[in-house]
Amino acid sequence: MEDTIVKKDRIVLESEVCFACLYIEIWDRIIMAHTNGILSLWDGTSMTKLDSVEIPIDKASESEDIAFSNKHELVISLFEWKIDIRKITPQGLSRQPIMTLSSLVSINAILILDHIDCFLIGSNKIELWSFETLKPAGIIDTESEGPIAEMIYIKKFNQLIVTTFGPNILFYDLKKKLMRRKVHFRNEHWANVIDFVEDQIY
Amino acid sequence: MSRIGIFYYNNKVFRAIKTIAIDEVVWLGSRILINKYYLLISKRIGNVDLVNIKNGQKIKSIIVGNGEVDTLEYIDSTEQILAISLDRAWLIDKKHLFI
Repeated sequence: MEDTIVKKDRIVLESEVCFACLYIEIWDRIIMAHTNGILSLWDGTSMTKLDSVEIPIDKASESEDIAFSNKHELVISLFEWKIDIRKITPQGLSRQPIMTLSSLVSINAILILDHIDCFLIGSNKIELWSFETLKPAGIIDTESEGPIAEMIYIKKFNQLIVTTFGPNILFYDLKKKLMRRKVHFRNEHWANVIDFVEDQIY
Repeated sequence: MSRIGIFYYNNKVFRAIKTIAIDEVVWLGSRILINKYYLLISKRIGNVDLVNIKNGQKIKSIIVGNGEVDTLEYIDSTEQILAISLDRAWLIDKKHLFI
């Protein structure tokens, strides 16, 4: 095994602490969410900053995640206690959000479901929100499982897979909002993060 | 010691295939899958590791800046990995990972 020191190819940030970023392939743009509430938009090829806006955050919280709705051209920024939804174009970010949501419980995960015009918010439960109305459209009750850590959607199975801050992986039928399977890990192993890769051959 | 679990899943069967042990993981910062079989993981402390998930081998350990890489993202247009370490970001050519 070889250690490699990465050369200073380019330093693109200057005193802006960033905890989350997302590459938008169709636009060749990068969105970064910074701890101080700054949301910035970068060109993916030139790595130049195109725009930034400040999201007012009430108390110190890390930027947890960013999600992008291709269909609705919206960016959802997730801070620990707040969600900010605003319009985005390849050129910039809207000055005003179209919705903000403050929460009393810690929000850890967000998932875009453009095919049903919804997004999911994971805290100590999973809330289904409509892009059309920007209102809750349903709840998947997971409270007995502990806080949600991450959510992925597998289109070919129409299935939601959820990790928690606990020893279980949960499989939900998204249409019926019912748990179909629970995988439990022994020895207190927590599976916090999860990916699904199609067509892997072993 | 942390582990990466590889599982087979086809909507009916969920079966463990292999477990890959990763040393010194305090907190997984970020991970991206590259070239189908390679997982690049950052750990907030120490190096960024490249792991072959097919054979379970850690094939490279990369020092990025002073460490503490929290976020990784793959940029398709330039075939580079953006590695963000608090207030600095580093661009790593994908081809450098496999040299």
